Amino acid sequence: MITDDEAGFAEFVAGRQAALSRTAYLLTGDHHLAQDLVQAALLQAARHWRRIHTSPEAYVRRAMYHQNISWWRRRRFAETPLETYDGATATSDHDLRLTLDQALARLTAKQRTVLVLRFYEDLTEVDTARALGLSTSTVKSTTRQALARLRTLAPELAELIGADA
Amino acid sequence: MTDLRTSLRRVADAVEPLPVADDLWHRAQAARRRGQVLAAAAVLAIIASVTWSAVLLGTDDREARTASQEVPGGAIPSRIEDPGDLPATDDLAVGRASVAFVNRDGDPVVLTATDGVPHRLALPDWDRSRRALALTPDGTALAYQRTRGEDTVLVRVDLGSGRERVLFSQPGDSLTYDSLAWSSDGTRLSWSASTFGDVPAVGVVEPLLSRSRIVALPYTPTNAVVAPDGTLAISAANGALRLDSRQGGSTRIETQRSAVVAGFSPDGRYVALATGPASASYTLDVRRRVVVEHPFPEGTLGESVVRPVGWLDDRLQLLVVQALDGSGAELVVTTPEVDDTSTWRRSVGSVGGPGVANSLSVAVDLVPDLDGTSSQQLTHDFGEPVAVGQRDISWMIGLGVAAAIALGMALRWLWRRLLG
Repeated sequence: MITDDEAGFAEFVAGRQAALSRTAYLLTGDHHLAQDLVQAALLQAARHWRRIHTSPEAYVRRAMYHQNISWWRRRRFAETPLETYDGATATSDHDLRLTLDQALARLTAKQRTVLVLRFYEDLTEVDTARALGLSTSTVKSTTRQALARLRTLAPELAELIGADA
Repeated sequence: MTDLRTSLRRVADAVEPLPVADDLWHRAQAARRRGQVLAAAAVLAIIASVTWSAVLLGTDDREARTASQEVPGGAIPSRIEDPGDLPATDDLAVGRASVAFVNRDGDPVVLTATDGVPHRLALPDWDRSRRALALTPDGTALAYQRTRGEDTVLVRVDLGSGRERVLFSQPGDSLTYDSLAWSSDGTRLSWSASTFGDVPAVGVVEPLLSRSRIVALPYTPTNAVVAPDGTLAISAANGALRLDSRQGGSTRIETQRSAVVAGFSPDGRYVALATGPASASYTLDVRRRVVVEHPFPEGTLGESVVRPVGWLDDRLQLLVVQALDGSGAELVVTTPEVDDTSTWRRSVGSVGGPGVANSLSVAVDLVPDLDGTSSQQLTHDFGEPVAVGQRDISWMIGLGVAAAIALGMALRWLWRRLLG
């Protein structure tokens, strides 16, 4: 027998699964990680459904943001060494140039999350800071550092990113 | 910046909806229930530890506690042992006692009835060379002799209030009380003295009536006990037994065995006898003027020294039986004779060391009425005794366990949070 809560949760998942998947992919840059991220956030939402069922999406998204950063903290010691991390990839072969997708993968989770919130979710700096539990100035500086790193990693994306960013 | 936004949307739009597990809801609810159970357990653990701490910290006599629980009303400890070195307390209001004895250093020790905790009492003017000590059958008071200079007085200490009362004083006479014994109802205190002035004597003090009786003797007494009606039973150093009524009549009881009187039954019909090595306990039947015996059941105790320490009722006596084979002393409940309704029950409790056994005084009123079953516990195991002055760490252990549980739960929460 399906309860009202379970039915409401199923309806939410069915309606917002695609949108959540897109955000999760942008946050992680990996389909498997994105799937895990969505599952973890929905699992958390289901546990607290009675409390959050009136506005579950905001809760799920916030859970995804924080979960992604937590996972990154756990994995960071296995990341690419710093000396190659910020170095520009050789671009002699045009086919091997970094795409935006690949460039995002070289950012830290915090930088990537801030960019996704600011330029994909269209949140203001204040809303981004509130969603991540950061100060507005931290969001500003993180955004600036993330865009600068994107330019370093993929100079051919400078036009895309914008010279003033 | 518009290009970046558009490019991000283009990347995102290429993502197919990611699959979500069908049982996600049920897994979440199961996890929620586990969390609730865990939270409830944590709350209960915290409440229990806080309550426990509050109870322990709120108890004035926090150190005077044992590992086991307290017994309302009190009980005789199943193990009566000399606790060894103890700081002496001059606060005599320790509460009702279950037993009293003289320790290896010659100092008086009582075990409090409700918790089994030993207390070495700093009795005023206690003389280690004069070790007579008698606990009332109900355990509320202790009688001893106070020696100051040439004067010796009998004193009754109320263990509830700590107040002392002089029961009998004979100034100027060189006097040593060799034994003290309360009647079974606690109204009379009998004594014997090898030198009372220039003759041996026995006597009875009635504290409630503030009167006393002295009987000078032509022989040296080993002990004197008194019945609730005032009759004295006296044992002599030569082994003879005598009964001395309040009216002055004295009767010699012939006996085949050397014995020492140890206590009248409540109805005055019997006098329990302490005897040397034998395989039986002996009792004087006052009415028949004969000594009766209750042999130890076959296969139980061998040759033993028997010392009665009180009567549970008109027919049941409590003995300290010390086997000669060195197996230690134990408490035995038995009847004067073997008949259809007789009782013989060993291992009621253990008594550690001959010094304790020879001076032991027991509040027999704390022994429960026998219910006829062999499984009935007549004494109580208070656990390892923790004396006053020694530090009881059981509450610290409890708090430590509670803290460890709380720390474990906190680490688990942190671990799960960090690992997602």
